[in-house]
Amino acid sequence: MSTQPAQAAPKPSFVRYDAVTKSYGAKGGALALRATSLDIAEGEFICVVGPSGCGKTTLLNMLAGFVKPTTGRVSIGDVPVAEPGPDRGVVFQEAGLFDWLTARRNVEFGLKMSGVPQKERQLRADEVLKLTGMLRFADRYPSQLSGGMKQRIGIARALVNDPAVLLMDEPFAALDAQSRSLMQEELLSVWRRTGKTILFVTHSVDEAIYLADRVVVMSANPGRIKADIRIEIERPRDEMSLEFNRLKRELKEMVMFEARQQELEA
Amino acid sequence: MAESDRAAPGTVAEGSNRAWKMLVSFLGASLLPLSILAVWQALALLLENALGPFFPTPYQVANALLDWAFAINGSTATFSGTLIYAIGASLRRVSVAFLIAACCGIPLGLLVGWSMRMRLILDPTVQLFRPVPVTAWVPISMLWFGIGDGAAIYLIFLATFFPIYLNTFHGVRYINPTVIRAGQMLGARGLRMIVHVVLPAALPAIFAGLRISVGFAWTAVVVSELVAVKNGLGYVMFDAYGFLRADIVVAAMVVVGVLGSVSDRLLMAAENFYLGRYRGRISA
Repeated sequence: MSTQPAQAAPKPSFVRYDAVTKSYGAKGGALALRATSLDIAEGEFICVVGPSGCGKTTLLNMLAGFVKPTTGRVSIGDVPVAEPGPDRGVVFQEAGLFDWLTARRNVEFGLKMSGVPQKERQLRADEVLKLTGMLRFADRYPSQLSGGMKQRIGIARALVNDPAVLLMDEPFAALDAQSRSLMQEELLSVWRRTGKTILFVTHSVDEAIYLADRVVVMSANPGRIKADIRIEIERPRDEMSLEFNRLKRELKEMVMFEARQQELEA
Repeated sequence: MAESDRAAPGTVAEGSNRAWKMLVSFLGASLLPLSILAVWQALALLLENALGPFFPTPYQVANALLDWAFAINGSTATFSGTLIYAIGASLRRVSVAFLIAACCGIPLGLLVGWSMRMRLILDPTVQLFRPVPVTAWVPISMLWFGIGDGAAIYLIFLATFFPIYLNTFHGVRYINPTVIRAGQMLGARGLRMIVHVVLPAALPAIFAGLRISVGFAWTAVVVSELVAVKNGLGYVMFDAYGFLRADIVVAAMVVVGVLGSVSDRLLMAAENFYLGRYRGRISA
């Protein structure tokens, strides 16, 4: 499945996980992630799927700088990740917006922290608010926005700092089916227009195949990468097509097998 | 046309309906106070032989209150027309002490809630002082500050500081971790993190602490004025008690109650001003 077309030259890796492990607790504590290496090229859209507890969020949090690997190293463009920062925009599952600020002030927050003057802040915020279709709602508070709108502000808030990568941790999991499809399409259009490198964690195989250039399948106990599959289907992808469903069956079986293993072990 | 014809009478009906609803809710709200007044009056009549002037009627209290405030008939003798000074003295103590407590309690609560190191250094000591009741501080504070504002302000400070500190501290500890991570991701660090993320996120809890402690402030001001100061509403209660003037004692209780409830309303208004726009308004 992971056969690459002969004409595509291998892109240089931009984000690199170099034999990272993560264990919690004292020495010899629970191993959450076994030595894992992963290379992501600039501009690539990667989806990570797997049963819960497989370490997919840990993988994302290491790149974000929220979690330090126990051993091994994570780097972007050869610079090792040390702590969280606006060069790695994170979109959280539960948006995590600042309730006390309007949508616009939420988007401007990162620029304010890095000392961008008010005038420029407004211009750049307007730009990403337009890009995410939220300009009309810019003066609302998060409590006055729907789940989908909150996520758009979450994406805008990350994008406005012009990050090297966009990290998305099950951002659409809490949305209803219609908003989810809508958000997926809009995310692809944002990706096309900005050319950002995206690491997207999801538990939905459908979502992964619909969005990604590459789908990374993980398994649990301890967490590790089980498969790394390039999706060659032309975009826009038809979720009803034979090709899509063939891939879906294959991936779903892989994930289900893992989930079953986990049930048996528990 | 037909649409508006039908709409017009509907609006009128809706308007009178609303007036009717307001009347009903007003009557409903005044039901309990009116019955309390009635029971009070009945009890005063019933206890007339046993307690006499020690159980004043609502009328006697109102009369004392009005003379105390406006010197209408001299029925409160030396207290006549002096209410404003008593209120001034008590209000001054409450506001100064409350302000100092907020200025210490909020920053300290933020620091201790946010920094594990600060928590280890400061919190055990603070928790050691907290269980000592304010009343237990009365004798020592009189020895330290003498009879006067100092002792009163110190006691009110002790009563209000802990609820403000504790609520701020817990408000910080229970901030949604995603919000903190979002702040880190957007480059907020150190003091900027505290000012721009931690403080606003903990503000609802801080307001809760302020509202709890303002009630304690009125308790403490009365306690301190009963013993440690020679003016203010608490002192009037004590003084009038010496003259066996129960009507003035109760009038002073009414004033303290009203001031306590007004200060709570003021804090609620401030809370609505700061939090209402994003959280929806609260009432009562």
